[in-house]
Amino acid sequence: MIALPHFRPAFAGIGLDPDALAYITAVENTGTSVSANQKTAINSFFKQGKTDNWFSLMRRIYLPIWGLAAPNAIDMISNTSGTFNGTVTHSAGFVKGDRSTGFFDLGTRMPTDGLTSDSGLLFCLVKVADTLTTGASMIGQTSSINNQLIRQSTSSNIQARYSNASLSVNGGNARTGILTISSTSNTARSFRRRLSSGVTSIATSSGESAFTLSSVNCFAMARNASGLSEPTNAELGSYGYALGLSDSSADAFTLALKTLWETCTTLNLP
Amino acid sequence: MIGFITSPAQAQAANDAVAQAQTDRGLPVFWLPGAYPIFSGEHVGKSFVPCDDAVLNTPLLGSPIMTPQDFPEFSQIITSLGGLNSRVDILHTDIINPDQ
Repeated sequence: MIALPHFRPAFAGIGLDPDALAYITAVENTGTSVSANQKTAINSFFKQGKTDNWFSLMRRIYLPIWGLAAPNAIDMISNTSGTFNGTVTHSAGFVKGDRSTGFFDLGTRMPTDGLTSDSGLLFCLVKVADTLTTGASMIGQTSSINNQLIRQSTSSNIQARYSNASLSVNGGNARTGILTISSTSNTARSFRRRLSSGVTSIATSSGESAFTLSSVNCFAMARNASGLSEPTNAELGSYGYALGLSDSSADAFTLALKTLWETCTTLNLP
Repeated sequence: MIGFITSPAQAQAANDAVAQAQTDRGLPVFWLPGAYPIFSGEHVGKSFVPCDDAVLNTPLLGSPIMTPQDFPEFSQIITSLGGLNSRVDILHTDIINPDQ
């Protein structure tokens, strides 16, 4: 059996938030170098989340910016790993599927992580939108008409579902930036978008009766419809989900995520 | 898309072997080539395991960077699938489930 190369021990982390340190350590243990600036940015992200009171509601946050599959697969909250499948390009700052075989299996399910019909949020950071005109999913899970997802339905419409009736919340030509779909009650859905220019509401809906969320693994770069469905070639810099966030909390989260991603990658959000 | 055409069981076995190569090293299963049912074309009913240059050269972990080809188990898995020369090129539409 081949021995793995010796990886440098994790930075001592004096003064780092313990959750930030745990994530940094997990990334470094894959042999990935995390710069001092990146450590500071990661630490700031965790601390801001706790100050703003949205961190405790986060369940999965992936930051696939490292150019390698192993660190890209690590969840910032639990430090467990999902699984990349097929042809995926791991670039500095984002991952990109091939729109055929490439996707990321989070390895967990929204109901298992506590999301309910009246409390849940999905998000994705889209650096570059899918290049084709047909349907493509950024993140999601589907069991027949029970859908929780963010997808493009066409090249001019971004769409979210948090529904047991395939009800769509259509956001129009808004396929890039940080997209969030949040439910904080069974009677409301809020679809928001953050760009470098600021944050806006792109759609709302009235929701529906209480239901149990789809219980299949959540995929990113595609959706799980009891099998791979709608793989995308969009360039994604982050994705994940949380319990429901109000508009103000969602905006605070996406602002912190924007800062984290831009600082760690030196790229700019669209 | 370039890769192997094989039975569903053999495709799963290949992916299981890739998974084991990771867990045997104390790693989580963070990467798999995948196993995709074929729904149309001449290979309908079988499974597709991607194995193009992008898959072979996926940057996995480490410094220097290790790819699937840097793992000894890789050659065994490729042999079990028929060897690199047995790969075929199929249409991406062949693995699209018409019921979704």
